[in-house]
Amino acid sequence: MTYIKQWVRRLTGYGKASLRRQVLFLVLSCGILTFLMVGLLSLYTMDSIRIAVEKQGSAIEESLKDSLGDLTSQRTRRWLVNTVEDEADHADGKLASIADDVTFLAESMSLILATPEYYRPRSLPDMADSAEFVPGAAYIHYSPELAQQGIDEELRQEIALVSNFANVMVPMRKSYGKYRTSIFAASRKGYCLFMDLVPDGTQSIFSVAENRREFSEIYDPRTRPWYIQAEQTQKLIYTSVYLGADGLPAIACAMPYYDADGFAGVVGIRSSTDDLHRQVMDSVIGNEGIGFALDHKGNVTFSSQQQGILAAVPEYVDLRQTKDPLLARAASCMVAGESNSMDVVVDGNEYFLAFAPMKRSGWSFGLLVSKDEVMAPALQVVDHVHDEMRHFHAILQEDFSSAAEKAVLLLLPLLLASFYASGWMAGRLTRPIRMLASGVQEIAAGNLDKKLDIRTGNELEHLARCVNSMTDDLKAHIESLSNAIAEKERAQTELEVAARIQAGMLPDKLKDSAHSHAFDLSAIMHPATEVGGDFYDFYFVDKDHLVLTVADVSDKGVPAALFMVIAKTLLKDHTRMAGCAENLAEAVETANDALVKSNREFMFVTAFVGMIHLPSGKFTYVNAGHNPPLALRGESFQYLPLAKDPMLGVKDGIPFTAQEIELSGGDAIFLYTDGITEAMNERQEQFMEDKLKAALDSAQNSASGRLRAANILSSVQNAVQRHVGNANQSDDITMLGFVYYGEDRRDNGCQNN
Amino acid sequence: MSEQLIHYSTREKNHWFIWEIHGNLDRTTSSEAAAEGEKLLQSSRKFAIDLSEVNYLSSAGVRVLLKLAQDAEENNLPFAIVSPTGGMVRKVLDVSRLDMFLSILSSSDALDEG
Repeated sequence: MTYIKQWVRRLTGYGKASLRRQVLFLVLSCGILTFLMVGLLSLYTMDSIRIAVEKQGSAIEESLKDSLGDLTSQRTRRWLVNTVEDEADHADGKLASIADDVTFLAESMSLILATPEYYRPRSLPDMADSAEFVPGAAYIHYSPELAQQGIDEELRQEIALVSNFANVMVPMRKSYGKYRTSIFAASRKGYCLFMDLVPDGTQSIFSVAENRREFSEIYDPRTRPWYIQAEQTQKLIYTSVYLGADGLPAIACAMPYYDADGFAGVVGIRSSTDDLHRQVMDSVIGNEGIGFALDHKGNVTFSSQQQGILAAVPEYVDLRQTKDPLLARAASCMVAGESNSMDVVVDGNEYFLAFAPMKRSGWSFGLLVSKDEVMAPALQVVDHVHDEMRHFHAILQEDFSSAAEKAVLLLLPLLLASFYASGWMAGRLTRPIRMLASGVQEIAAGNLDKKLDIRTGNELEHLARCVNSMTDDLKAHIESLSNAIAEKERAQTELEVAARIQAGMLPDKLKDSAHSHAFDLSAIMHPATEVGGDFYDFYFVDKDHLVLTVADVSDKGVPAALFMVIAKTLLKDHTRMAGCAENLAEAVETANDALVKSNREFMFVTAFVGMIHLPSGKFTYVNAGHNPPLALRGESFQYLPLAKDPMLGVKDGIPFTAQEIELSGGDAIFLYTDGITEAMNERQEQFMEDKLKAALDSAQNSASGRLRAANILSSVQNAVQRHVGNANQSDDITMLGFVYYGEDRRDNGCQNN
Repeated sequence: MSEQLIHYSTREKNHWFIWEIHGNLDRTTSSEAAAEGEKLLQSSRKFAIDLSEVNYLSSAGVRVLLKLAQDAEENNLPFAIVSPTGGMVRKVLDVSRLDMFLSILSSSDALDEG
C-alpha cells in the first residue's frame, strides 16, 4: 500500500519535475500505453475469435448431430421398412419352399403307398443298428412300442415299400445339406424314415453312436409336436419351437400323408431354429441386428438371438405380454399382420424395429437395428467434427498463448528501447530549452551582452530571438531609464534646491523693533510638492507698520513657485513703496497690473495683504480673491467678510479696495490658504471652515495666559492632521497667526519712507 | 485614474452648447479638462460650462475656467459658468470673486436666448 502511495505521489508530482523528465515520462507513457492498448486489443480480438470459434464449433456439432441423427434415423427407418418387407417375403418364400418340399414328400409318400406295384422292396438301415447305419443316408427307426411288439410280415412289406421314400429324400440333400436338417416320414404304425443332414460332414445329428442308441430306445415320432399337430389339423403345419431329438430347439414343417385307409402318417422337414435362422436370416443387419419371426400366437418362431426375450425357445412365450410396452405393442401389431416401424427397447438396448407380415406362413417378420449401430457413423462424423474443432480450438489457443508470450517478451526490449529512445528524445528536445534557461539566467545575472544562439528552426529559435531582442530592448531601456533616473535625480536635486530657495524667501522672524512686545507672530508653509505656490510674508514698511501677507498661486510646482516669487516680490515692493495703510489698495492694484504683464501662462494668485499700525491696532487689508481670514476680537474668532476684489494676475486695471478693523490687546488675526479648509481625508471629506474656527477657538480657550501665535498654528495644524489622517496632503498648507497685545501710543499716521 | 475622477456630457439649450463636468476639477484632471474644453469650444457658438456636478474645484480648475473664458473672449464667443448657489464650487467662485471676470449663473435656465 505504501509502495502504491509513493508511486501515486511520484506520478502526481511529475507536473513539477523538470521538462526533460516530463517529456521522458510522457513519451515513455504514451509508448507503453499504446503498446499495451494495441496488445490488449489484439489479444482481446484473438480471444474473442477463439471463443466465437468454440461456440460456433459447439453449435455446428449440435446441429450436425441433430441433422445427421434425424437424417440417419429417417433413412434407416425407410431402408429398414423396405428391407423387412423384402426379407419377410424372402423368409416366407423359404418357408414356402420348405412347405413345397414337405408337400412333395407327403404326396410322394402317399403315392408310394398307393402304387406299391411301381416299387421294389427295399431295405434301410435301422437306426438302432449302428453297424448298418450309414451317416448322411436314410435310415429307419422303430418306436419302442413297435420294437417291442415286433414287426409282422405285412408291416415288413410296407416298410420295404416305403423305404423307397429314401429315393425322394436323398435328392434333397443338395437343398438342405448346408443346414442342420432332418427329413422324415413317420408312420402311424410306429416306424419312421429319417435322413439327417448336418453341415459339419458327420452327416448325423448325433455326434456319438451312444446318443443315437439312447435316442432310438425312447423316441416315438408319434409323440412329437409336428406329428400331433399335422395329424390333428390334417394339413401342412409349422410347429412352434420345440426341443428336437438332438436336444436343440427346433422347428418343423409337417404334413400328413395317406394310404388306402386314410391317414397313414406325417412327413416333414425339421430344422433347428439356428439352422432355420441361418437358412432364412442371411441378411440380419449389422453386428447387433436381430431378425425374428412371430407366429400367430405371438411366439417367436425363429430368431437370430440365442438369448434374451427375442430368442426362439421351446417354451411358449407370448411377446405381446412382455413387460416392455413398446415391444408388446409392436408384437401386437406384428400378430395383427401390420407393416410398420417402431422404436423399441430390447434387453435394455434401443432398436429401430421394422416388421412386415409373412403372408403364406401367417407369421410376421421383424428386423431390429441397434440405434447405436445405426447412429454410429453419424456420431463418428460428429466426433470427427468435434475432434477437428477441438484441434482447431487448440491451435487457436496455442496461437493465442504464443502471441501473448511474444507480446510479453517483446515488451521488455521495447521498454528498454522506449526508455533510451525517450531519454535521448527528451534530452534532444529540452537541450535548447536548457540552453535558453542558462542564457536567461546569465542575462538575469546582469550580462545584457549575452546572445542566445539556438538554431532549432522552430518556436524555440523564435523564442531565443525574442529573448535576444528583449535583451537589446532591455539594455536600451535600462540605459534610457538610467538617464531618466539621473535626470530625475538632477531635477529632484534642483527641486530640493528650489524648495530651499523658496523656503529661504519666506521670512522666519522680524527684526527687533520698538513694538516687538506689542504682538506675537508665527507662520508656516507646507508645500504639497517640493515647491508650492503658497507663500506668506511679513515685514515692516516703517517702524510702526507691519505688513502681513498670505497668498495662494494657482496650481503647484515649479511654475507656481516662480509665479509666487514674482507675486511676492511685486506685492512687497509696491507695499513698501506705498508706505502707509492709506496707499495699500493702490499698491495692490499696481502690483496686479505688473503681475498681469508678466503672466504669460495665465496664472493667478489670490492674496490677502494686511497692514497693522502697531501703536493703534488699526488693521487695514486688501483681500484679492483670497479666503476670508479669521479675527479674534473679543471671545471668539470670526470670519472677516468675503473678498471684494478679484484674484491678482488675471486682468489689469482693476481698482482694489482696502478695508480696516480695529484690534485691541488680546485680539488676533489668522491668515490661511485653502489648503487648510480643503484638506481632505481618505473619505474625500474637506476640513471646512467650521472646523477651522473650532480649532482656533480651542486654541484661544485653552491658552493659559497670553495667547501665542505658535499655539494658534499648532492647534490648527493638529486639528487638520486629525482630520486628514493617513491621506496624502492634496494642497499647499500655509497659515499665519498674529496676536496683538497692544501699545500705549495711539499714532497711526502715515510715515514717509 | 483621471477617467474615474472626471467625466463629461454635453447638451444644448437656448442655442447654448453646455458642457457638463462631473467629478473633481483639480490639478489632476485640469489638463485633460482644458484640452477637452478647448476642443468643444472650437465647435461652439455659445459656450457654457455647467459645474453643477463638480464635487471639488481647485485653483488649477479655476485656472481652466479662466483660460477657456480667455479663449472664448478672443473668439468673441458668449461664455458663461453655471454653478448653483450654496455649493462648494460656488463658494470657491465667490471667494475668488471670479464673478468679476466671468458670467456665473445659478442655473442653466438663466442662459439667455438669442
